[in-house]
Amino acid sequence: MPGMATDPELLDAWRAGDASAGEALFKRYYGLVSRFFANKVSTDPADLIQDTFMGCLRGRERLRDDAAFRKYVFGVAYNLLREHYRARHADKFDPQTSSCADLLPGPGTMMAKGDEQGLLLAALRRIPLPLQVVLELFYWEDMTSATIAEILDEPHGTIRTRLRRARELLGKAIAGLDAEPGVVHRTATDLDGWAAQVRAAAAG
Amino acid sequence: MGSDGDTHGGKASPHDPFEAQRLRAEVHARLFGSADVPTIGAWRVIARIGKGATGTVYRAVASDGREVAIKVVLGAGTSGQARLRREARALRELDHPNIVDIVDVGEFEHGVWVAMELVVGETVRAMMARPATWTAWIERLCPIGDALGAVHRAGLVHRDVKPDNIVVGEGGVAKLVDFGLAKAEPGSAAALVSQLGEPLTRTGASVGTPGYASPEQMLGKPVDGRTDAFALAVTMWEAIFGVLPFRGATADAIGLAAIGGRVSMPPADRAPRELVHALRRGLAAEPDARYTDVDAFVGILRQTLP
Repeated sequence: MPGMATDPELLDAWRAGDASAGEALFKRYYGLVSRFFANKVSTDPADLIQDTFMGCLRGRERLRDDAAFRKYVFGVAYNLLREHYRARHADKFDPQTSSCADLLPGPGTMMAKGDEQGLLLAALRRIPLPLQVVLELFYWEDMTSATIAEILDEPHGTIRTRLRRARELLGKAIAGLDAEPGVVHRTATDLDGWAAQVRAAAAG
Repeated sequence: MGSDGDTHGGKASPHDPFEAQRLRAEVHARLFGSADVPTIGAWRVIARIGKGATGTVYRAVASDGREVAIKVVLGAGTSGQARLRREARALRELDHPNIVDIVDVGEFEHGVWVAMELVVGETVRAMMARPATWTAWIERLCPIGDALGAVHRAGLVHRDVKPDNIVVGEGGVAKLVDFGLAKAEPGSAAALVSQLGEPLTRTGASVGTPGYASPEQMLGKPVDGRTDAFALAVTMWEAIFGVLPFRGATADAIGLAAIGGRVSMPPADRAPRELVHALRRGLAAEPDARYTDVDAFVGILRQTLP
């Protein structure tokens, strides 16, 4: 019964050839994986999403529980994203400093005044990729810095520093995007609260 | 989307629910072999060709195997949607060899869609990377002027003529694609997607692309066919001389040069004086100082050919 099974059970069944178990995992994790790539690639993300699921299928890792599986999915997706950038921007990709706005052509700067979600997404694309990733996991997936550290395989202290630095740069990016003064003020005083509101509004 | 067991569901792309649904179906089909292929009207969507902020272009197929490019325009508002439908239907009536065929028009919960002939070819933008004589360019692009003449006689204005929106397909026939179906509301951002999939973005109240937009378009004044003739003159100038007629470091500076009528000097000996003169008149800041209509403009251009 795929509906009752844990994520690791479904993964094992899928690896053993049970496609319906794979479909059940797909149903559970598609939203999370597609959100992860949505604000980071300018091309059709279908390949990356597909490869993330295929990566999980082909991997040999044994996972304890649903939380471990979730981390595993993110780990696979994050590695694929880095490979994607490396392949497409071999000349200018430095994973520590490159931001999506540097690497991607397209509508990154485009938004209507008052479109706070567009503003948040555009600002996120302007900060270096590792900082963007930690903030998005923090805001979108409600992960703690400890969980993010595990997924990205970095020391907890490093991630906490990165989150702090990411918030600083995000605040600056929002101000630099010529946002309305009220938004600039709110993001300067309560960035996390603002981001949570924007996220909730976007999720309907 | 968002069924009961979807524990991590949510909107992957809140701006474009149809695209989110299509992407999910595509990945599902690749992984598990089957899925409900999303449809637009009677068309089954098989792939995304390009994406912009207000719309997306898909490759789609009918039950008889015929393929089209479908442009989906989102968020045009009720009056905007009515206008888009009206314009697409009027375009459909036009049967011109140099205008992309409109095959089907409709609307669905997400917006308005227009199914067009899928033109396989190269944009004039891509062709400009290779050297060609001025006569070759005039011969190639004058039919686009004829096409615009037909558009204008039908009471329409393209609003976004530029090298990216002219595709040269099989047999060397140039076709005008991507009519300005998404007109921005004042103060909002808008984007058009060319049929070939390059996202072409712009902001502001006027549709048109900096460098190609006429002064009256940039200033938000009423536009008529002379705006398209102006943009065609810019396109021809760029194709022949390799540079835009109006120069500037920023889009605003280029726009100001156009509004001020400051045409840069073309490289000497690249084209005859009569042609330069005709193009300059086509680029006049005041519509009244240009040719009466696009037919008169291309008529003069053809006279310069040896």
